[in-house]
Amino acid sequence: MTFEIAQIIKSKQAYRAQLATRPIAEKLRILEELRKRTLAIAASRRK
Amino acid sequence: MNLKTVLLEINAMEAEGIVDRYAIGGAVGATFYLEPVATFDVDIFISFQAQPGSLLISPEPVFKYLTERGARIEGEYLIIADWPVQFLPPTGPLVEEALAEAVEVEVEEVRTRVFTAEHLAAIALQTGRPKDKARLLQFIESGTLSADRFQNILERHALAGSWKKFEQQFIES
Repeated sequence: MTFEIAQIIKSKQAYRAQLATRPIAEKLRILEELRKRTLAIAASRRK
Repeated sequence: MNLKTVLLEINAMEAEGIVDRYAIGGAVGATFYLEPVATFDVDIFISFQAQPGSLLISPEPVFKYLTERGARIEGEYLIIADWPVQFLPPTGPLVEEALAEAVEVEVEEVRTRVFTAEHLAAIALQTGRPKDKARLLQFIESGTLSADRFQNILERHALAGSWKKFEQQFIES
């Protein structure tokens, strides 16, 4: 673990690249979860 | 998975001849090539014939068919398995070509069709909203685009100038 920004960006890019290679069904499940979380956050902001 | 139910419903609609052909675009389409891209809705591009006696293309047969199978209407959307689905006709030659050249893929044994990565990237460039530019950058960074196919699409659809500006703004800087 590091606080070096260049290393953090590199690590984020690697994680995104790794996510992109997952099977499509798994990615669509992640997408559904992302949507649920975004909707929950949006609903809590409205309160 | 709710999206699988959405695809099954749309496949049934295509099999019944309600639409001639469909393909997934937008953020869900991009997810076939990139990391999952957060979105609230599903964009389904469709081609279909005008109704007899009318020159206008109406989404009414799509809405009628799907609401009879349990979907509900919310504004411009049909809600299928909790997902807002937006049905879009081709808005121009680029989307027409994207629909014609969409590729077949399989999601948990359900066959479906999605725009190619190059068409999704070109549509993002043409649409040009901030989120489209971000998506285009994702495509470029991911290395999933075929440079030749992408350049050919840009030239066919007069997008070379927009691409040059995009490159200057986001890639060369």
